[in-house]
Amino acid sequence: MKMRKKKRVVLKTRSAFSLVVLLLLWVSTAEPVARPQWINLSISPSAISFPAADPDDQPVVRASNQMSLTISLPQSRNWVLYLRAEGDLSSAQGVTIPISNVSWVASPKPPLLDGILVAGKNIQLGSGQGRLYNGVLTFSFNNSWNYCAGTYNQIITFTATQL
Amino acid sequence: MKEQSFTRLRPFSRNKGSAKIFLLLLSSLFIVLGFLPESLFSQASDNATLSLTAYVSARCKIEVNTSMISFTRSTWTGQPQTIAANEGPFTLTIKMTSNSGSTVNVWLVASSDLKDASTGYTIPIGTISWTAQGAGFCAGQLNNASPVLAARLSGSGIFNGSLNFSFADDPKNFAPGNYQATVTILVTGI
Repeated sequence: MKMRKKKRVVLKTRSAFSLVVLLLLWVSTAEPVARPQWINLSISPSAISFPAADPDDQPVVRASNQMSLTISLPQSRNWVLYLRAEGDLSSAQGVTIPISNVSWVASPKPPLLDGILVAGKNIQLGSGQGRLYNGVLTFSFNNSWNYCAGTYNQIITFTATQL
Repeated sequence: MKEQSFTRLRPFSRNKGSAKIFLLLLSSLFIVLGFLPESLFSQASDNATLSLTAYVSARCKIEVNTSMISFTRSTWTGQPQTIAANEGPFTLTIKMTSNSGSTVNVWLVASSDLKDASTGYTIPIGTISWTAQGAGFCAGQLNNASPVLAARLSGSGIFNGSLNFSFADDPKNFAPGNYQATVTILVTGI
């Protein structure tokens, strides 16, 4: 009877020990789950325009403003940034200009990349680690005699994701 | 007292088999939780939108291969004859960005008849005519009373035409001389 009790105590001790070990193991491996998950993306200005120009004199029209870009997130975390235009440039009359005529030059490179917009497609603008304070994008528009006169608009969406 | 504290673990100890299974399940759960990618728990992201506006204004540009054409009576037959321009075809390029659905007309406007400044003699400007090549371009004859249509174009783009001018010479009525007139190319409907 005494032996049986002793065995039970030993078993309970072992169980408790195992539980403690497992808890420690979980705390150590589960630590990343508790790491902070946040990211802030800010751009300025929120609107840019391409002025009208003679296609012969200015085959490529630069946007009136450069766009600055800032990404904040927990230190040393990885991020990826995409931009997406849902459609082509379009006027109130329903006339369109392919959005692929809009391109950008980015700095600094890396982590940012130059590129050309594609309607309905996420384009990777860059990826990196840690905060980005000094991103600058200069957008350009391919000018052409073939366009109909008008005012054309489109919205592009930037999405920054912490990895 | 020690015995009391262990009673909380009684379920583990009553049955060795169930305790082992419980521990196995528990450990498995912890391990799975610990090794799951954190992205499954949450993936932070943020959005910003940028509005793009492109302004395209209606405009037109006229380009020609020469600013002057001439005709020379090189032979004398005494009979009316057609003399082609010495410079060959006159190429006319209309570059235009027009409003949607608009039609653009290109006119040749002569301000006066051909006139010899030294004698004051004149030759009717209607003696000069042209044939045309190029989509939208048409043949015509100069007129100092009203503009004459040279092309009718739709849409935006670069339109190339070639005009072959000729002079209807009538030696019996046109005295020798140096006759000149100015013709203006006019684009309307942009």
